[in-house]
Amino acid sequence: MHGVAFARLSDGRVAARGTAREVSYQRAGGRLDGRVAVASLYPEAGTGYAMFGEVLLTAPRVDGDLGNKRGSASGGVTFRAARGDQGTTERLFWDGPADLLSGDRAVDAQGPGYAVRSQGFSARADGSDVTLTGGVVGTLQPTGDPTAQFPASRQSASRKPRTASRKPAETR
Amino acid sequence: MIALAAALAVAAAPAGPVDFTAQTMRMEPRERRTLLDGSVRLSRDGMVVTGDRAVVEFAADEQPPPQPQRKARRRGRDEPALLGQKLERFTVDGNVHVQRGKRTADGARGVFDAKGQTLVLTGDGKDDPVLRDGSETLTGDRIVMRLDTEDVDVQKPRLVLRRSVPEAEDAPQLPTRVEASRLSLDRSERLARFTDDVVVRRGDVVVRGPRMDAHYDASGQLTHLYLRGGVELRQGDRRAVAQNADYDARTREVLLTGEPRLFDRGDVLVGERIALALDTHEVRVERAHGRLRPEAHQDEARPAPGVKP
Repeated sequence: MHGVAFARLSDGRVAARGTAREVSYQRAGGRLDGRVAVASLYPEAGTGYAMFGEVLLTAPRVDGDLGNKRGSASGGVTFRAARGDQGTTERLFWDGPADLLSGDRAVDAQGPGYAVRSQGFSARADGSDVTLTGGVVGTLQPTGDPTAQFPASRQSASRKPRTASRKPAETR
Repeated sequence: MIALAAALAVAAAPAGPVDFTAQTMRMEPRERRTLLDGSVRLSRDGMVVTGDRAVVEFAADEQPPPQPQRKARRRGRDEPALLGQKLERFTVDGNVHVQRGKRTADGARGVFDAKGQTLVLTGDGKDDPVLRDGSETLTGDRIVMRLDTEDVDVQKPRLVLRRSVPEAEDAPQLPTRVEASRLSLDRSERLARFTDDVVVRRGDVVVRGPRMDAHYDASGQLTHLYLRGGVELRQGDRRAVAQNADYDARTREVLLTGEPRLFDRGDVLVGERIALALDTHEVRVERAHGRLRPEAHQDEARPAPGVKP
């Protein structure tokens, strides 16, 4: 399929919607592959991600095994939230049965009053627990002023932690 | 010790960002906290705090004024918080080490209060927190470092003033130890104010009083100790009481004023002022009167230290 649009409904509300330039789906086995996917997520109130507001995710490549509820996004995954947060990582994995998102490549994220960089992450899909792993470096603004973004020099927490043992993200 | 206070806060620290590193960072939005674990390092405006782990707690959301017409909606603690929220405090645990300028401090726990602009260092019940500046060492139950001023408050301080009392080359190095219930360091006044149960020990001299001010010169050297509010001094069998006691670090002499009385093995001397030289044990009493009992001193190997009324 080319020029695909999709929506995910949950409890009568649109939980996510998006587009993909190309999607191939093998019904036998539930295998799905996509190219240039863009998705908007609408976190439910009360969840760990609710404060972000609408979140826009992009990924050059996505693939999944719908039968086993597993998948991945790769090629440089980005997110951008209505609150002003944004981040990138090379790839991430979705494990539906474990209700888990994870990544094993460098993660860069920044937003109002913070900037962080790590070498990997894992997160509960409902946002109740987000863990950055492999050595974390970052900056927090105590006032948490949502209107005060860091200057450009602080936007990217590019210093590698002393204890980091993994390579930084591949150059795209 | 003033240098101790000065180095703690090289400059008034604005509420700037806190840089951090750790092995892992676990965010728990519903608990409104983030946990840093493994080789944690926090730095802010020239101050570096390291420890085994840390907890970052986010402040409760601002509560809107109550709306009597509407059913109040619960906010604040119930709202999940991730990054980007206002911070309430950092709590660093395990082998906490603080560095600010030349000064260092160690403890079991350090709590940085974002609102109060303080860093509170405590021990683990076995070892007290320690503040060091060169040869001087300050311990206490609780060390409160103010980040927006240059003040330090210490509960139950135990202070060793080694470099502050210069000794003659041939004289033994006798550190001056000070204990009290509370200590406040005021750098602008070059003043360390001890209050409640102040005890000063130097060699065989013990001085007690309710409060004491220690004054320093620009280089951080102790110049004077002023004890007020009723003072007792003991040196061996000798005991003296007065309203006030002034110690001059240069002459190493204590001057007692305010109805001073000296008791020495049966001798009782009263005068306007009593001066005691700590090194020579010499006593001078101005306008003295009293009772001397020479027979009480017959067993002394040497003549008693000179008493010069």
